[in-house]
Amino acid sequence: MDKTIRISRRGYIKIMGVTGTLVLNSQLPIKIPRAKASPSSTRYAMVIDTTKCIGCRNCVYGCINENKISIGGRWIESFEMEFGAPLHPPYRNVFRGTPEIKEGERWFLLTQCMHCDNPPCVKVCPTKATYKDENGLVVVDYDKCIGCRYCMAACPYNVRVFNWSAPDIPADRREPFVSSQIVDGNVRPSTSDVSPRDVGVVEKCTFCSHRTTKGLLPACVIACPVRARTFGDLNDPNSEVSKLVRSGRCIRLLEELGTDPQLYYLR
Amino acid sequence: MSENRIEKLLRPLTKTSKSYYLFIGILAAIAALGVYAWWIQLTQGLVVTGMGDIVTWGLYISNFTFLVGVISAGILIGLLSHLGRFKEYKPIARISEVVALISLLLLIAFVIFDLARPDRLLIMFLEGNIFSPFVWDLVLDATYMVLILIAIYLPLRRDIAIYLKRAPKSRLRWLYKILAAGYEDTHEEHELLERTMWWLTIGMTFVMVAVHIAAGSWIFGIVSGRPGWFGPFVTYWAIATIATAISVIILVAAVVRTLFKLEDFIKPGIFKGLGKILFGLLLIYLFFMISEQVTVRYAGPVGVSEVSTAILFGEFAWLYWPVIIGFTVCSLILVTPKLSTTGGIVAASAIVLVLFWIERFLLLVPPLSRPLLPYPVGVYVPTLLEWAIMAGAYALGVLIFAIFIKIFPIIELGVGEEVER
Repeated sequence: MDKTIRISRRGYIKIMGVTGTLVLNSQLPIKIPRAKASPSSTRYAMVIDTTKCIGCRNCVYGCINENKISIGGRWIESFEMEFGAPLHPPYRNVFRGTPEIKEGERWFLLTQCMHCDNPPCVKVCPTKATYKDENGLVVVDYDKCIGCRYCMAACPYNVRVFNWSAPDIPADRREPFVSSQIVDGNVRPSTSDVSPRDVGVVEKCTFCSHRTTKGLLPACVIACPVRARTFGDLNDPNSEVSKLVRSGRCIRLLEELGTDPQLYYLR
Repeated sequence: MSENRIEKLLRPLTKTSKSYYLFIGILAAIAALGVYAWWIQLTQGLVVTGMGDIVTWGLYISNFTFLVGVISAGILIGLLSHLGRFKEYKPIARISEVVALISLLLLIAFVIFDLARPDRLLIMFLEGNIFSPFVWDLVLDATYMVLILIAIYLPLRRDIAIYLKRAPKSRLRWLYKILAAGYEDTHEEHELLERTMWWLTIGMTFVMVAVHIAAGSWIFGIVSGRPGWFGPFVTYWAIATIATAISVIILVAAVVRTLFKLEDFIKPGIFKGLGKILFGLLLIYLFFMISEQVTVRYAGPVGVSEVSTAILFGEFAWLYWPVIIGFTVCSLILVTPKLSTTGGIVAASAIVLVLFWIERFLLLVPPLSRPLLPYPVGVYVPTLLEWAIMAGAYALGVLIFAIFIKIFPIIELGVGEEVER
């Protein structure tokens, strides 16, 4: 009696073991959620010309207005760099002095989500709330974010912003934000339909995906008075970004980490 | 003799002093305060913590990593002492296992404290990203929970059966009857139990290795953009986890032994043995700590060097140097024959425990505080609310242990029975 029970238990364990191994193996080979853009799809990218940028921060505030960012948060960060400061760490010579701008004495480093082709944030997100979309953008599904902030710890550029409290939009920014852009020679106004994010979720630059799907440019691009920003599709060889990136004059931040960022800088 | 032995082991169940109720009351009050603090955090958002967009993780995650170790090594020590090879440690088997179970519960609690949207936790189970180390950890913890419960329950069932045979006048007889589940403690049943525990130990050892690696280091080790975290060297956290667990077990065993006069069972030899292992682990850990800094100081890349400077000479130095000095002092205490009495070992373990907690904090926060891009240095000072939540969680843990010890025998009733035969 005892013996038969023991044998059946061993048999059971064996069957479970084999089944478990098979189930686990069926999950392999591992496909890291990394969208290698297919040739037909869009691959959005942006080039910032640091030689043109005057540090007016219009892009920073254009972005805040367009995307209804809560007080204290910003998706574009601007750093005043001393002239000659390299575009890679360490940034020991970051300019943190007087606000008057002297010609040729400093330059401006603007950072925002780099929409990496190999995004560390997407890999670590436990709920697939942040993912690479079909246009090559790294976007956040605000309804799936559990607020663990692993993506923020994993992002080497620190461009993600967390909603530590309920959204707080100042009274003068609560009205729908209207911007205009010249499309085919005509002024085309557009109203922002972005709503503030809920408390406890991570947000960041989306390359204004709500605008680009309508054929408009991101808010920071149209806000720039000196046209330092160029936005477009890298899969279109005739687009302005493609030409700039191919010119060989562009560099990217922290390229050695293998994140393959899609925000390029001209120096 | 036999009756006397079992009576002694059952003393915590049969006799309860007034100060026990006072103790329970204090713990419950602290736990309630913690729940209130958590409620504030839930309603107002994580803005009430000291965390920010640069240092995005703080006390909660640092406690999480601290507890990971206690769980894994706690259950390992508990289970190994069921094997004949280590039977002199059998008196602390259940203490280790219960400490591991409570640590696992607290670990889950700390993860939930850290989440800004715990209401969406289920998404992680239903459509989780299998490539996220958080999900690996979740799967392993769930497995672990089941295995720990089995490991605690099987030998406990035998004890309950023995206790029931003595016809105790307990209000919990119904509970004991359910838990005993028909176990009669015949020779065959006992043998089957021993054999099951052996297989369970072998299986658990492998799961333990998996949990160690996944939770203890991979959550941080895979993040290429955080110098100080990235790399396989964080696996030396595994050393820290075993050392942490040993010090917790020494402490708890010492307290239980003194409070319930169980000196006849938890003998000084147990503390000596654990003290020796702790000494070895401390030496290895010190070596790793020093070698890590030497490598970085000599020719470290910029990112890692910045983190190292912050730890050695910057705002974290007042935490780092006491750890180094403390570990050295404690290993000296543990190795000096005159000092390594039971009292000395317990004192050293208490210090080591606190130091490892600080060390976990140092492994977590400094790398976050030094961003690679020219952001200002991240500052993290835990708020009173975070401390309250943390205190509440640990108070709850001690409370669970205090209640467990009054309902179930904390030392297996089988301890010492071979001698009598």
